[in-house]
Amino acid sequence: VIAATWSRPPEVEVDRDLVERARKGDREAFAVLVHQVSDGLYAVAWRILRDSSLAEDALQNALVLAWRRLPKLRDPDRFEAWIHRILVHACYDESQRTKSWRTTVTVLPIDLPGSSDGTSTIDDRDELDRAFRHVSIEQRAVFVLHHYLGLPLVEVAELLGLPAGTARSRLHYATLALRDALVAAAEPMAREGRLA
Amino acid sequence: MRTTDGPMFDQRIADWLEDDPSTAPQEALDIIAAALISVPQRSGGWRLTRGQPALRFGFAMVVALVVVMATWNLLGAPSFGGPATPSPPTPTELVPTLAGPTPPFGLGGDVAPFGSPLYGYTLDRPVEWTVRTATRALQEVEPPWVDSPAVDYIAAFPLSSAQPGIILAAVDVADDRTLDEWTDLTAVATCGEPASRVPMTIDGEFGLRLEYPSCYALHHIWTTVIHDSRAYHIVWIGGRGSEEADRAHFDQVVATFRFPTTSPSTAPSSDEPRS
Repeated sequence: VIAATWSRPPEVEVDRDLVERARKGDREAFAVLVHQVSDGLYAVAWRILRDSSLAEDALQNALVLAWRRLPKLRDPDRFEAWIHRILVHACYDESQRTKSWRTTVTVLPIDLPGSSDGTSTIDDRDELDRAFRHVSIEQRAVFVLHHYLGLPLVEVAELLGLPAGTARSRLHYATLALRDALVAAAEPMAREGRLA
Repeated sequence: MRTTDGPMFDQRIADWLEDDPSTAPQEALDIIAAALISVPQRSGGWRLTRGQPALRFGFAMVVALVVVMATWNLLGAPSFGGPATPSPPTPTELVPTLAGPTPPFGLGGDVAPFGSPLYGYTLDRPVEWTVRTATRALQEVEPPWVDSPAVDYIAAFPLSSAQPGIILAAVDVADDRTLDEWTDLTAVATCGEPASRVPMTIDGEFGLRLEYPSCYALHHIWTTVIHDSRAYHIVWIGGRGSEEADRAHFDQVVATFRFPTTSPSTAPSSDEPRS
């Protein structure tokens, strides 16, 4: 399984007391919480949306919504899962909001000589970026929560309120798209290798 | 289909994910801080406290009454002329889980017969479990994903992440297609090499039982069998940690499986993504 070989992002310990205080309306406590979790949430939003402006908007909307809804959070220990769920839905909203007017800019590949000095890495990244943008936002969310945050698929399903099988199939399609992208990136170099 | 092509594949995607930005811009945080000053919190809702015993008792009675009425509505009025006859399942039928305690994961309790409208097989399922029936035919090597309209899905909690569940689907195969080949093209292509692959018998037909401790992080018991040029998937999906009980329960369900006695109906295929 892919996740087994990956390093997880550093985990931030969320202070339960802060959550409890913020839940009761303490704005300063919530400000400290925001400071603790914002980098991690932004990183997840960026990876799902692949766009810094959209990720910022999703982060802002998620945190403001979290503040408004915080009194209804029954279990402060579930804060992280709860706020990630809000964030993912904020990402869905951003994606939906921009879908109607946003022009898709297609970056044309630059002709770089294939080599082993890092160019192939750039090719891979471009292909991966392009491929991931064509994956549905729901599939991206599952992929990022599982492979970037390192959450077990069952937890991802629970966090998103999905049947585990649905999470599994979303992960499958996202992974398949990325794998195909890497194959596509490797083909030009293979052709050059054959011609050389 | 395997999700990796080797160590390099993993590392390239890992690098790609990890190289992306991981720090929220200060400007964004400033905007949030400014916004929070004027945004009020929503009320946490009314909660009963220890000092309101009469209200607590009244509240409990109302909740109990609502649960009883909801259960009554779900069950329907009881028949006094004899046991109720279940109506045959129809495509897209979704039988709601009854209110009450957690449904048993095995067949220790009451069972109900289930006949697949599309694929024609029958089996016994725990009566509390819910059924979602297939509305289109599975394609030849299409994985039987749980959310696919090409599968029958029988589960304790179909609308949540809780497990377990059984996925069933079938597809016509060429006469010269062997069970091993078809299993490799479907189960192994989806979940990789299994931890075990053993022969078994399903309704008198030779089948294969593949077990995966973790396929997409879930425990899978994937059974394949071919009968009358039709290949069947019977897949148990469960959480990890209950494998022993899962095997026993799955065997109980599979033991009741019967192939169709007549040709099953066919349904138009759709444009679902295929791998």
